[in-house]
Amino acid sequence: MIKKFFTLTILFLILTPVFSAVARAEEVVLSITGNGSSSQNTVEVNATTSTSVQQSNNAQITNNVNTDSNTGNNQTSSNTGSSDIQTGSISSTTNVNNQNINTNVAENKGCGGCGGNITAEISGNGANSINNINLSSANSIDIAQANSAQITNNSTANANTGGNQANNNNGDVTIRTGNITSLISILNKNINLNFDPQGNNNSSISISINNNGSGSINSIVLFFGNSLNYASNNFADIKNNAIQNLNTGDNTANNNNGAVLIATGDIISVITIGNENINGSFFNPPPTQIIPPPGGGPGPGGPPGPSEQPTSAPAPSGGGGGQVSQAAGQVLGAAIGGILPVTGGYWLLLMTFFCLTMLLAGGVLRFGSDPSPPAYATI
Amino acid sequence: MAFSLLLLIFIYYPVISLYIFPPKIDKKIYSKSFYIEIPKINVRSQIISNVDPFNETEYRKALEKGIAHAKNTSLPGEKSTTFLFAHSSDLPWRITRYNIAFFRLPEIQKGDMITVFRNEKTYKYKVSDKKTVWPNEVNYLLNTKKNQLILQTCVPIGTSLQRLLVFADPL
Repeated sequence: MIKKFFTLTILFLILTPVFSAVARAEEVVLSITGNGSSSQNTVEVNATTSTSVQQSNNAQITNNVNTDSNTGNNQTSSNTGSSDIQTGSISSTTNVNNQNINTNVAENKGCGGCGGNITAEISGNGANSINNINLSSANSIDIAQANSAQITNNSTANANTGGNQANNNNGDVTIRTGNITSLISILNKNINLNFDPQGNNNSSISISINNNGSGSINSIVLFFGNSLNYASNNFADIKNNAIQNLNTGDNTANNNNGAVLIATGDIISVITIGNENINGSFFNPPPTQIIPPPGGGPGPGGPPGPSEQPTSAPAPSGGGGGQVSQAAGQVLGAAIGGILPVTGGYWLLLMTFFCLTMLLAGGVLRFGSDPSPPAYATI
Repeated sequence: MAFSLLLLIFIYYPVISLYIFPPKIDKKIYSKSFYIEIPKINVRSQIISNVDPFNETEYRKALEKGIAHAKNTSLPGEKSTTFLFAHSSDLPWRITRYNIAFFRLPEIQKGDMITVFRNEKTYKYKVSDKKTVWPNEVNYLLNTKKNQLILQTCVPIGTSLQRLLVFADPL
């Protein structure tokens, strides 16, 4: 009896820190209760847990947005009489969005699939009983997630509606341009991303050997060995350059002596570059269920997460020294489609070439060839 | 060789005959209500009014009958631009058969006279300018504010590379 008590006390003293740690983490309850005469009772708990999570993010982002708008350079010199220049109508929108950039979330709960609530009980006990409970749980989890993203977005949109000059006019010059609409939208969405939120295992083990009897030998052995190594590396170098130089005509009408109409306008150019999730690597659960938290995930040892970095520069519109003219583009619409009536053909020219070729070929055949018969023909 | 020479003569005879044997005035022309007369280049031809200048099928048909008047431009006497256009060249056998009224239009010079007859009224014009433009310069066709007459044909003769525009002011 003294021996039994001594053994239990020693085991309790040795294993209490480990046992209690495991109990806190996973609610493990082991008990050999009651005991009986001449019984040997043994409880062994070996729990080894090693967790190492390394997460690192590196993002260098450069966004340069330039938008210059101008409505025409506009000149009407030396006019005695009517001369109109109507430009106006520039509308340019530039959106550059780099959203969550780098995101690491590594929740390290549980032991990667091992039991959560464990209760092993040998109760009652009796005479001659030898009771053993052995639990050994060894968990080792290494997670290393690394992201690096270098993003460079440059978008330049210069507008201008026409160079516009109408020199030396002596009446009736109309230059209408206007109508530039240029949209640049660059979006690089979640970029690198690593998720590893495992530990949703709700498993429960309860083993119990009850009442026991005389001469009974009872033993409960539990062993869990779990090891998870997860390494994920992401690197993304994204460069999006979108340049739009828009202009509607250089527009000069020199030395005009009445009635010149230049109506250009109507440039619509849209550039949209996407690049959504980019790298990724999701471990558990499936990626559709994971929404990366704004501001980053609170993984153990992980750095503060990414923040949304919208960079948008709505461009100025209108301005300049001109009037807004909606009709200018419509005139162009008619003008672009058509040409001045075709009142000539190339048949005369082609037939002349054909005849001359035939004439030359005939001349070569008639006069250019050797009149004498070949040497072998005279033998 | 002989065949080639014959073919060349066949091709160019209608062109040469325009100069050597200028076509006689068809008296039927005087019965038409709308026609043009350019004495310098010996043109007397009927004008087909309101022909769509952007519809090739339509104006090709009209040009077989005479000179076309561009739709949405004014008629003589309406105080804005009148735009007339006609063939300068075509297939050789069509040169005499169909109207190539403006074959000799490049010969027109500043100060030459043009007369348009419409509904028994006479409208006289004096050539003020001459320009060679590219086919896409349709602004001459769209801007009809000025009171003038514009004649158009294709140049160089035998091609449709550029357009010759002759501007004439009313007298």
